[in-house]
Amino acid sequence: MATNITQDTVPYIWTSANDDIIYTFTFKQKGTFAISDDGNGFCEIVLISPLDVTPSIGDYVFLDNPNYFDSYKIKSITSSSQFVLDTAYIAPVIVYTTLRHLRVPVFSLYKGFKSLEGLYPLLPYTLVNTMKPIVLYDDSGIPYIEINISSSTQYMFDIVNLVDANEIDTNIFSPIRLEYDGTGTIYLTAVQEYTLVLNSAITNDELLEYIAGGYYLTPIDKPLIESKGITFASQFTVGETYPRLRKYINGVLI
Amino acid sequence: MITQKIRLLTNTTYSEIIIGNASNLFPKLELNELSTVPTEITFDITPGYIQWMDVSPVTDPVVYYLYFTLGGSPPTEDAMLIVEFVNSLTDSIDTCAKSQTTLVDSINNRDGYARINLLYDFDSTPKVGEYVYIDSTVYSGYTMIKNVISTSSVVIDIAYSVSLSPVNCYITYFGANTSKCIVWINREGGRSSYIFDQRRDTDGIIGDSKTFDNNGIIKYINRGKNKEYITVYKTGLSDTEVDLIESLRYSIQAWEYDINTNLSYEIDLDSNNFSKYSSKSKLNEIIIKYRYSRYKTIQNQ
Repeated sequence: MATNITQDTVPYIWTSANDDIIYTFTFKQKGTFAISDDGNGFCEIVLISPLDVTPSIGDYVFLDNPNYFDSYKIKSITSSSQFVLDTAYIAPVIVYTTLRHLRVPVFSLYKGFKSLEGLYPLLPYTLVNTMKPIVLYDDSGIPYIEINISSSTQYMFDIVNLVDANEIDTNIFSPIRLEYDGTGTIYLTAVQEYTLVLNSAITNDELLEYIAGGYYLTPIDKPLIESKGITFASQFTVGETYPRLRKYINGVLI
Repeated sequence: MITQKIRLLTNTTYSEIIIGNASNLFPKLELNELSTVPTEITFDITPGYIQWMDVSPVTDPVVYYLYFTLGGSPPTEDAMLIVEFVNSLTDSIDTCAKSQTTLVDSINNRDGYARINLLYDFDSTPKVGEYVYIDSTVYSGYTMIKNVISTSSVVIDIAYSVSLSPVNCYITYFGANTSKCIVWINREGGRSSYIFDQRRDTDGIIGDSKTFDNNGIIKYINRGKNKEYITVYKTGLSDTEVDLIESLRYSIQAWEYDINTNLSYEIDLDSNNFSKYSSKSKLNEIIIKYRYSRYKTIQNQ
């Protein structure tokens, strides 16, 4: 399925569920072949190549030209490469102009692993919720989409009882990704689609300091291991991706 | 600046450590030439990436701060990797909880179950129904004691499969352990635990009961939701222990972990039922009152 947006940024590989988890997208640009009067005084657009997604009347497009630097509503449609905007025709546009179709797809937030990924079949692939964000404009006036999924990730975890000693603690984290227009977000610099969210209250910057390994996820510098009895502590092990639940019996790691 | 930390043990060799996800976190960064990389650390840097690092043994605890840059002139410090070498990744504290780990001498057959023969005696004679943890390659995990032969020999609830003698493994006997081990999710997102091995009180709160008049006799329709409360006391705590237990107060989820059976029970902790005192000798005392999340079911009439 075609899409009119391109993924721009993704979160770090590990993020905290309670801090910002932001994806951004930009709208694909199309070159204009002609901008002319439609015969009724409105601006008619003819594109060099058709829009990736069939436009609907009422959709907005963004024109990036000194004469038409704004978002305009589509008034009527001849084809995906020819339509009339609900704005008055001003003057012939001499310079090359780009157009962005400001259609916002529905984004679906998924948690868990797909088959053959990561820890599958643990943490099965599950829909968390769907969302349709608004179009934002950067300092230069260029439209883009930004999605902060933190409000969803805060409530997507099911905390159950303890996992086995030294097992990966799948209760405290989950992979996430967004799906839209039949495609999914990708993690840019690794061969994987998902990023990982820890159900943590600390900031992303603080979390980054833990994940290289060796440090325990504790409120103190080092976990206190009881000389008798049982002690539990979670750790990002050196060289591993996922946190494990460490269990000590009588001071000895088992 | 992106900062990542890694904590490694002294006197230990590490090979090809993928620095967490450093190749993802520090993409296309190259070592700042001003940063001095210690001789014990070797980075494998493919063009634009840090792939992994090797570490040869470091004798004494030390912290290295290594800077990375995107380049430019002069190069800017865009990321930092802190490599900390420590003698131990954990600290230890003493507790009065009753449990003993001892070496196993041999394992053989007794009526189809594994009989454990110890090299030394248990401190006290085990009882049938109590739990042990064994870490043999063949027989492992938590198991109940089915039969007590002597202070140095018990039969466990694991089917016999093969004799082992000598056997290089340990068995842990938890005894009649009444200590309360609380496990909780901390702010950082991991799990922490602490054993309350001193005084404890139990209490019960009766739910909102409903009655009816049966020819002049008041009888209960039901007894509501009845919950059991536990109050644990711990004194003589260090400031570090208090800092650890403080995070229990705000925990989103906590459990009472049964040391004997390896089972855990969800508990609710009211933040107001958490008291801390400091004595003149600067030793701290903490009192925590919690209740089991699962209420007692009482029949109706």
